[in-house]
Amino acid sequence: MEATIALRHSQGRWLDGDALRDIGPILVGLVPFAMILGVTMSDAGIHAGVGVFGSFVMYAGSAQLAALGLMQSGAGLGMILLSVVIVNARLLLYGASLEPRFRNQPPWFKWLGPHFLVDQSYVVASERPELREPARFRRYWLTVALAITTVWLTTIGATMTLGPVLPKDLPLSFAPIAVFVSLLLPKLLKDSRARRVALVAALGTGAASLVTPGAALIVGISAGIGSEFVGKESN
Amino acid sequence: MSAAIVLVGAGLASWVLRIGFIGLIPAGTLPVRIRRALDVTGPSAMAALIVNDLMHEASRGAAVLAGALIATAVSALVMWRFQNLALVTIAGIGAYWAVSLVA
Repeated sequence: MEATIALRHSQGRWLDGDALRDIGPILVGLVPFAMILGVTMSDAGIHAGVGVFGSFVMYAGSAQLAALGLMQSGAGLGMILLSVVIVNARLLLYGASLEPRFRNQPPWFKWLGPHFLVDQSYVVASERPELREPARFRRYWLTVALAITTVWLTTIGATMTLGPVLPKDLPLSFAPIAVFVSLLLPKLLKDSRARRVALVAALGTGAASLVTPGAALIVGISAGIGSEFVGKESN
Repeated sequence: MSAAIVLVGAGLASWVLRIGFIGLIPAGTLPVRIRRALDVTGPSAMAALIVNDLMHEASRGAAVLAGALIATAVSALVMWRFQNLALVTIAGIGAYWAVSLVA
């Protein structure tokens, strides 16, 4: 019954309304980040076409900023790739967490779909446990990917060719925090396991960002997940 | 070194990380204990992302951090009271902007 409803829901429209509603507020926060990346690439003398193409191929803003910084400082390819792997290591955990949704998908989606796995797409998809039906998840995921890609690449391209498309002092940088708070809070209110894990992850990220900012996210997320083992050991 | 080579190489490395536990070593083949622990990736990631973003704000100065913390509290309060994502985003950005005018 549920599968039938989900299937009906997925037919007849290209875009998924739920996906657009979920990702909409997050897109607002992507704009200033994309502008920073566009300005950084312009300052590095990178052609707009290469910048936009590279941003699509990499699809990871923080790691791209780290790679550009190292490239400008004259680091070798090996060091740059190592840095990218450290900054993006959390994607490995996101992938593991979402693997059941990709398990029964056609090969093209199983191998190409994860390209669009970023913080934003992971957060919204992980909050939709009802997306078990493969076609429904595929449509949701591709809609989220299309929305992020459009805003991300358009803003980067516009910034690289026209300069910043919005005033730099707009308070949009807070938007992602607001979205993450709104997604996390309901879990904290009803689940003691989530409270414990979130606290450990927050403390881990804060501490790691003082020592090794580039790896703070993976350290914090790993600490949160790792606390599950400690919790179980002590139970 | 060409920027295109760096970006393509980094993109390839990122893709391998993304498909690592989806296509290469499917997470479904991992021990049950690890798979259960992965259930909490969501809250872990969200808490880590919030703190990471706040630490980034802190790097821009104490006043910016104070504004971000106040706006975070406002966001949490609005979420608790109204459970509306759009409202939370608007209230959070509004609070952040208002504090930045005062600071």
